[in-house]
Amino acid sequence: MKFTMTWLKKHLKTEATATEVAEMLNRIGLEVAAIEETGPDFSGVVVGHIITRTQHPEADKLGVCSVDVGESEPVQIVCGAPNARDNLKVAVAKVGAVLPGDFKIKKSKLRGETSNGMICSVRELGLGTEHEGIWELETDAPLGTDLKDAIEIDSETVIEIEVTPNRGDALSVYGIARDLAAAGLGELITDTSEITSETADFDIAHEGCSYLAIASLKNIENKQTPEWMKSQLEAIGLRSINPLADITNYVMMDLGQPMHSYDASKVSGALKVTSATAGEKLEGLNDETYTLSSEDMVIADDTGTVGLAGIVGGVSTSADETTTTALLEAATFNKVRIAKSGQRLQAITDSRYRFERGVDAKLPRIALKKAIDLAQEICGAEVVSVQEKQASATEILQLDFELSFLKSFGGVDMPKQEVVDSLTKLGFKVEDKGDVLGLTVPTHYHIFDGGSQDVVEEILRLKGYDAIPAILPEMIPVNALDDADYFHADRGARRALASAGYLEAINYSFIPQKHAQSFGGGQDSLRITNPITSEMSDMRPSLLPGLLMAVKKNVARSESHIRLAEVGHIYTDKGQTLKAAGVRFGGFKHWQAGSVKEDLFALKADAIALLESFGHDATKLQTDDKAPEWFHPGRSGSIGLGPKRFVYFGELHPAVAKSFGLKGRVYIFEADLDAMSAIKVKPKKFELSQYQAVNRDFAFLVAEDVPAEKLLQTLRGADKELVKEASLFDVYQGEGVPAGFKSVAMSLTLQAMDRTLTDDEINKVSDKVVADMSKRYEAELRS
Amino acid sequence: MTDLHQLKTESLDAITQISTVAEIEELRVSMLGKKGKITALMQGLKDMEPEARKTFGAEVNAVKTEVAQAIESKKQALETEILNQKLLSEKIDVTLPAAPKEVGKLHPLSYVTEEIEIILARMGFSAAKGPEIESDYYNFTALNIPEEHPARQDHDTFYLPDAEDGTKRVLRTQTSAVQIRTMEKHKAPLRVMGAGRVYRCDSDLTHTPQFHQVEGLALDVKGKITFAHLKGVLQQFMDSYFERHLNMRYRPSYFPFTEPSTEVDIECIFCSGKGCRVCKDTGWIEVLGAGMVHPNVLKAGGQNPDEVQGFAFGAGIERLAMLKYGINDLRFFFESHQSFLKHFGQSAVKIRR
Ligand SMILES: [Zn+2]
Repeated sequence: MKFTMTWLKKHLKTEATATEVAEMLNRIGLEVAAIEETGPDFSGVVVGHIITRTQHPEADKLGVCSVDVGESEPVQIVCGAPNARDNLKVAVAKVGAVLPGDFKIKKSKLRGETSNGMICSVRELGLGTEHEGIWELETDAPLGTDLKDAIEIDSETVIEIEVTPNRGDALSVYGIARDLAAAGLGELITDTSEITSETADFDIAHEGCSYLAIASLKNIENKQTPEWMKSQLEAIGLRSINPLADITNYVMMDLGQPMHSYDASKVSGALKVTSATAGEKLEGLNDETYTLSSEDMVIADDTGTVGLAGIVGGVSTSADETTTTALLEAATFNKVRIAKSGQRLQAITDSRYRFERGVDAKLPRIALKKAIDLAQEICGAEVVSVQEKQASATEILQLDFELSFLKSFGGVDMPKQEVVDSLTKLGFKVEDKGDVLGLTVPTHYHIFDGGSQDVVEEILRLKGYDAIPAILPEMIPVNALDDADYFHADRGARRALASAGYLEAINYSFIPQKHAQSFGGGQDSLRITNPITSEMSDMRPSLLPGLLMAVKKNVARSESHIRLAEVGHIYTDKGQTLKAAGVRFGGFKHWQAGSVKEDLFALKADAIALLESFGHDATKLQTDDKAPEWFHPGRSGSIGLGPKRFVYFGELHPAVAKSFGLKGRVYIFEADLDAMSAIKVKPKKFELSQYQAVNRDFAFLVAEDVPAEKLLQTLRGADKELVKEASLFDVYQGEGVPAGFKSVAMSLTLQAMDRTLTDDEINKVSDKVVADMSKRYEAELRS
Repeated sequence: MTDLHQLKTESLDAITQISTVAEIEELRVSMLGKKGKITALMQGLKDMEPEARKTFGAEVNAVKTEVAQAIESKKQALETEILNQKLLSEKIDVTLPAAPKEVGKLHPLSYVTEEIEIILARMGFSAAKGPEIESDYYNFTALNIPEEHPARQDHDTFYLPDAEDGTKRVLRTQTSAVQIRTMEKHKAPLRVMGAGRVYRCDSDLTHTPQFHQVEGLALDVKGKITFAHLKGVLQQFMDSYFERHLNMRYRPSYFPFTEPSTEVDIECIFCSGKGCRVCKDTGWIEVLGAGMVHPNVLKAGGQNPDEVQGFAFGAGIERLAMLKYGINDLRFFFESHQSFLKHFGQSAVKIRR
């Protein structure tokens, strides 16, 4: 909502400056978005003096002027104005000046004569319509003075406020003035006189309209909209259309009541409010055509629908510059109806905007009076009749307000008299009942659904929130301890991955459909109906596509070593799941280490570290070689416990890599953090033995397809009590090992809590290892 | 006598000529060894007169000691030199670059979220979560934003197809939905915070279609928690986060789910309120929206508004991160440029004090 200071002062008697008004508006909840000065829209224009004008040798209509602009030398300017002459003060746009319309003045040549600037007319400076010749200045300002300082130019201060949806009352200059007056910034001087009327002969056949008034005017002379009204409307961004339309627009901005003007000669019979016929079309004044439903409320004459009630008038019957007899309409419409129709028809108009935020039911009678007065004054109109009808009574909201609530809820103490005064200033009717105030809420408040809380808001709004002290509340018992999972899983995973060397990324939750489909998603139920772009259409089924896109972008930016991870939700038909994923790609060169390339086992170590950070015991987890189809089928697997798989890891399928434009091996993992944290791992007991530990190394010859993890489990399982550690330190295939076999070297650490192990005991475990390996995997001990 | 002096001179002269440990050992043996020349003189003492033996014995002893010391120090000098030469031959160029250590970083938004959570947790707020694909009911209706409410238009909501049971689904436009879900499960007194992703169908210099919010809700029995406590908590929140005391300004505003509502500004941290480019010369920067929970929202959450009251607040995490860490382009947050993540990311071992 925009208004000018001039307009405001028609409603508010105040000495306050625009800055003071803006400060107060901010304080009372009408946030100021901008303060602008209208007026001169030029720069670099100075006062100059034409010393001589001589005829241009090549052009009859041009003169060559020598102009003193207060500099050491006069400048030469070619000018075609008939009134350019010797010894004349003029407005000179020097080279570099900018005139309205972003017109930059440059040095030029006109028919062979140099011109260093331009001598301006009033119109060229945007200060009026006069363009018969150059502006003849009457000023004593020294030559070279900036024109804006030399002359008084009418300017206007325009204040723009952002009106929140609850402040339908502030969508007019009157409403803003009323609030400022209540806050003590001046005195409200709005003329609120109302129409006098006769009984209506029109019909309100719709429950969405509680009141309708129509004034009939004749003998309208189509004069111009007066300059003062035009300039006010233009200052707040409204285009002047024709006098009657300008009057209704002006009254809407002035008082807040949307109105409409009809050409009476185009209306057949009496107007009425009724329901639209489903499927009928209305051509609106805003150049939009609407297809209506029976839910829409319309204004109709005997021939049918002529306007969409409270939203927009129709083209067929609206007043225009040829209108001589007119009908002016002011009504009260139900805001929910208008909002729903407006939403359904996607109709965005100033009228709907006000009605759906609520228009004071008192306004139509005042607004119609003002519109009639203006039509008489501007168009010389004569009033034929003024008719009105009240279909249903205006709802009046009353409530009891306990004074103690201000302290127990608002946290601030105020004397009763101050409370009563501010509420009265805001338009409440206040009845003092002792500890309770009986309140009648003024009809210009429309969202008052919070009862006493709304009253507190109104009082504090005027008082200023600064009056409320800042006090820390007392501690309360810890209530929702279920946040431990969140901190461990979500926050913990981020730190675990950063510790493992990953740069944490946050990618978009929506990805292109083709990516979603490649990673097990892409179903219609998870596609956004109104995406920003087709690249952001599907809720991600995996964190990996986003990370792979990020790899591509980084490679394009010449990054050669990528290590990115993300922790976030993925979405399926069952809901959202918290996951973590990482990608390693490329490598680096170093004089010592040579060419270091990322590899699968570096990534597997990260996955294990993540699992361990959730309390899982790496020695109890099982790895298999099964992973979704976007992994390389021979170089991928999963880690989990039994049927529960926590992490998929491995090399990205080369075909998928190619679809992301990635060349080379890409290593990825994705972990299900919800599943990982759902299993509560019992902490291991800590024990420290005082006795010597012993190591035994083994090398087995075994078929190459026996998974290493099976061998390690066998080694670890050889003795529950004595095995402290089992590790694998070499895998060898080649000379000395038969084809189809591999040699696996492993180390076993044995230790007892209560004794030094005897050779017998050690040998017994060793023998069992050898026997188990042979029995389970036909592994043969190499000597 | 001459012998003795001659031997001493001979020995000391020889030492100065010697350049290897072997030679010095040789000299030691020839002078002080079992068959050495000085040793022989010592052995000759027993044939002398007692008086002469005493005098000469002392002299021989002195020479013996002097020569032994000279040999030993020469030996040490030679050994030191050998060691020095060996060490010098081992010289390496320590200015060679070390292999790059892979230092991971937390995303700046993750770190800032943690900072905020720690600050709020200190004031008794527990963390709560909610779904990002949210029903129209939790995102709007339960928050006192019925279908025809003008505020719905300000939300630029992303929609998903209706659920099978007909439920209208949206991407949550605010974390406030977490309020209702929490109230349904817990009774007052309670304090919860919810941080996470939210979505708006808007994309330009200052808007990304995905961003992060943090939400706080505190409820207690009537009279125990007021607007003054809201101000207390927000002051503590901002002072802790920016690590200094800040002036704050509360402007009346409107959110459908709070009444009264307020928009909260902090004094501009770049100019301390004097006015600069960042604060558009106002001296203030808007950082929070807050208010007292609307009775309709309490009802929707299963609380009795006649018995319970409280406050709620929300803030944009990107904005807080940009202000504190000097990040000047919102869109960088979701671009995943490693250079950005390395620069603005925070160490995993860094913990907020
Ligand atoms: Zn500033």
